[in-house]
Amino acid sequence: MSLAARVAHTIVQWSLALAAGGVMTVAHAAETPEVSPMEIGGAVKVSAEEVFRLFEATPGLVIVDSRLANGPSSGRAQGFIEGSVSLPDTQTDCASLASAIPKKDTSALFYCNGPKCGRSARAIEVARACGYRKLYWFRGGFEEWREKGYPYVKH
Amino acid sequence: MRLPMFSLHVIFGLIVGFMGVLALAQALISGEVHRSHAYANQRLSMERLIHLKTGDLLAELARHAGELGASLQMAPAFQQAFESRDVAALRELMANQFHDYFVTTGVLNLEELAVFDSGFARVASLRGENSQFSSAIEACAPLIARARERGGPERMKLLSGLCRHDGQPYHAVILPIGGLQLKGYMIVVTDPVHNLARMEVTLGMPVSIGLPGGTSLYRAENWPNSAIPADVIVAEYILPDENGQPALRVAAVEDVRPLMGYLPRTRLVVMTVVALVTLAGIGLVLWVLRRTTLRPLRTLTGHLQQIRGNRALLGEKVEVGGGSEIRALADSFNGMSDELGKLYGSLETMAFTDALTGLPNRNRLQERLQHQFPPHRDDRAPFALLVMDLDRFKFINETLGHAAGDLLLTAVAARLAQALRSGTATSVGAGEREADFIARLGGDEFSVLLPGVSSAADASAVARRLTQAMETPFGIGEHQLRVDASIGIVLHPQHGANANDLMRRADVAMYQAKQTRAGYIVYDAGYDGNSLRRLALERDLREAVQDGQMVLYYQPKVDLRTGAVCGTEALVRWRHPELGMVPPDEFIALAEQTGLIHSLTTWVLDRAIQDCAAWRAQGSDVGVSVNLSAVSLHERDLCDGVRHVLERWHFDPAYLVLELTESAVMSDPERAIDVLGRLRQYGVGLSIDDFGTGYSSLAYVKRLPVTEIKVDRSFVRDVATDTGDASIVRAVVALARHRELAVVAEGVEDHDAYECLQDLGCGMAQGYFIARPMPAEAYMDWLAAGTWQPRQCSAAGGC
Repeated sequence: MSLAARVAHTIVQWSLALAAGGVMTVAHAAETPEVSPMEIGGAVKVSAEEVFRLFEATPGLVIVDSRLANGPSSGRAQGFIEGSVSLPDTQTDCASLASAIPKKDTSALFYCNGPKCGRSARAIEVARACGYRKLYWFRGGFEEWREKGYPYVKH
Repeated sequence: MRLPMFSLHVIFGLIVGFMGVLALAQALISGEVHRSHAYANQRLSMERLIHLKTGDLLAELARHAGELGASLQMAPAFQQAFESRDVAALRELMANQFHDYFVTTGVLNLEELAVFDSGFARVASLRGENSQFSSAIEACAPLIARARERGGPERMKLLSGLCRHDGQPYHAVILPIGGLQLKGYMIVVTDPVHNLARMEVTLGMPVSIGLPGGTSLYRAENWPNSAIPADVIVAEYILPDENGQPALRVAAVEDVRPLMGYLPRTRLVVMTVVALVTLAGIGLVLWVLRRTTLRPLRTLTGHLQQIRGNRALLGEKVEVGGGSEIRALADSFNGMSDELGKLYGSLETMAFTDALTGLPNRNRLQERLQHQFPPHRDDRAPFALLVMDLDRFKFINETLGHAAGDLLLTAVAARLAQALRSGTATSVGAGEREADFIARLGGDEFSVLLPGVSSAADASAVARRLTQAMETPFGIGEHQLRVDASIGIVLHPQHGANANDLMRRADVAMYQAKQTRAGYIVYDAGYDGNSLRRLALERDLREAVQDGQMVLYYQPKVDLRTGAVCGTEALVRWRHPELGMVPPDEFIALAEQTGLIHSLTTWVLDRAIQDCAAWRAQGSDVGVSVNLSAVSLHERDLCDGVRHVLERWHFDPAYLVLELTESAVMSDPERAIDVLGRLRQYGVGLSIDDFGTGYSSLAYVKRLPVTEIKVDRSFVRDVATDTGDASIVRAVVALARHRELAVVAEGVEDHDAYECLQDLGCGMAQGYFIARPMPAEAYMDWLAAGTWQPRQCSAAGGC
């Protein structure tokens, strides 16, 4: 086999492998649920412990629960952080936000069920768009809270 | 190690059986080990299961207790009462919890509820009705201490653990009051035993819960009583308290009978299989052993035993199968058997053959004789047995040496065998009877077995043929030896019924033949006495010469022309103290055979010369003749001995005549010529005795330096009537005259013979007609008396 033919063969193989990889990637993206981004511009990401410190250091802190009130297994009904207000992301807009958060410079913490839940992220995007400046994002959400054994409220 | 005498069968059976037992034991032991391992594994997994299950149950308990606490503090009334530290209201609210859903449904067994501020100062507490301790702080001080040490968000976490108080275990959950801001703490104390006991349901096993010390707090109804059975596994797990000390012992039992029930069955099956395999193994090993070892070995042993019974089987090959070692053994055995067979054959040949002559030996003869006596008397065929002895072989052996003797024996054997063969070939009916058989018995003795010969005449014919075969002299080195043989003949069944008797009687007949010089004699019962007498004589002969039992008789020789007494023959007699007078025929041969002839001859010579000297001193002009044995002719010192005696008595050699028989001279003529020549030089007269009987070669006689010929009495007795005898005497006289020899006729018994001899020109005569032999004194008297007068020839006589 000549050198040229060998090179051509190798190229053909690579092309096939790349094509297959591309197909797989597309299929994966279609099947997996929504994943929150690691960072959101304009919002401070906090952990569960930082939630306590933030609460102590910030009088008037508003904690927004972006989950649905009665979601199938990830809603607020399974428990929530004491003192949080329920504002599902689907109802989040500047008006609803204004009723929950007194001022634009009031500190507000958003959480939902956890990293796989995109609601708090979306809500923060909305809030930011609405002009709120002190936004905190508890990315771990209720899942992290309960996991770490911190008290929560359940009705 | 010494093994008892077991057969290979048994030994291998025992070994394989022992291995089988070992295999059984191994199966048993491995089964037992397997069982105990299975038990241990089961117990271990049960312990792990209890561990996990208790963890789950306690976590569930903590969760429920936490929920109970959370539900209490969620109530606004509680928050209010807590804020205002309204103890009564708090206690009332707490009392409600004892009727909570969890408690009433038995999910929790609530012992105490207590409320503290954030610094763990007690605000309010409420015990259950059955609670035995004073306060939750006392019960769970270590847990509270741990909660107190925490800081930051950690303090917001729920804390649970086991506590012990007064030996009683408790479970406590410390949870914060307040969701995000810590306001205080609430402690929920429950009885864990109640919850842990539910394990029984999830595990499906009887459960027992107790203190590490042994006090039982809970025991399932179906918990085995008292002794724990062997087929029940008990697993336990010790739960630690807050300080890591044992707080609770949780145990569960599992009845492994269903699990382990298969074991005995399996064991039985395994044992049965092992036993069967062992039995099959024993059978196989024994079968292989029998094919490869035992059967070939048995074949070999059997053959060995057969050989023991019949040596002729030596050298016969044995074919065996079996292993290579066994085949190698069989090959070695065959090789050895072959070698032994050859060796046995040559041994047998050696044992039954005379090494010198190659003839069969005495043993073979005995065997052949035994064959002539089969067990059934009817089968016995007649046969003849000849025993032969060479005359004077002993002195030939002694004088010429053993080498010459051996040569002679070999030659004799060859000649006898040849004679026997030629006779057998020509005899009538030779093909119908068994072959004649010759053997050398030892020394100069031979024996001939003639199967089928029943008559004395037939046996004598064979004997005659044998003696004739011996007549031609044997050329041994430079010597020409004449050997005569004496043969004794016995016949079966006339002369004996067994081999020993026949041999002995053949010997007797042989001695008789030797004594009488008959050549061969058929046995007669009368000879037995003779043989006894002969034995006695042989025994006494030695003493006889020394003790003076020997005496000399003298017989005169007269001149036939003048009638004057001109000589005397000394004749030895044995006056035996018991047997009386013994004639010389009986003991001379004996003396020759026993070697006593030398001293006897010396004595006779000495006495005869002494006597003759005495007669001559008294005026009688007589000489004396002394007989010499053929044996004396071979003595080295014969000449010196004669001269010594002559000198001793100052005797003129001219008056001494030494007489030798013709046969003695002819047995070794060359030697005779030599010895006689020397004797003649001393001037001693020499005479040939018994002339005419010894088949003398006249050529030799011419060469012999003799002075006198004595015509044998057999020619003289009938000389007057037998013209043949007369012509022989005439011829002898003519010869003697030609050689200037004196001629003496022996055995002159009557006047007719006397005159006839005178007519024939015979010189001297000797015999009863003139005088009988007489003792020395009587002879001297006879000489002195001068009574001898020759009578005139009778009218009827004449030659």
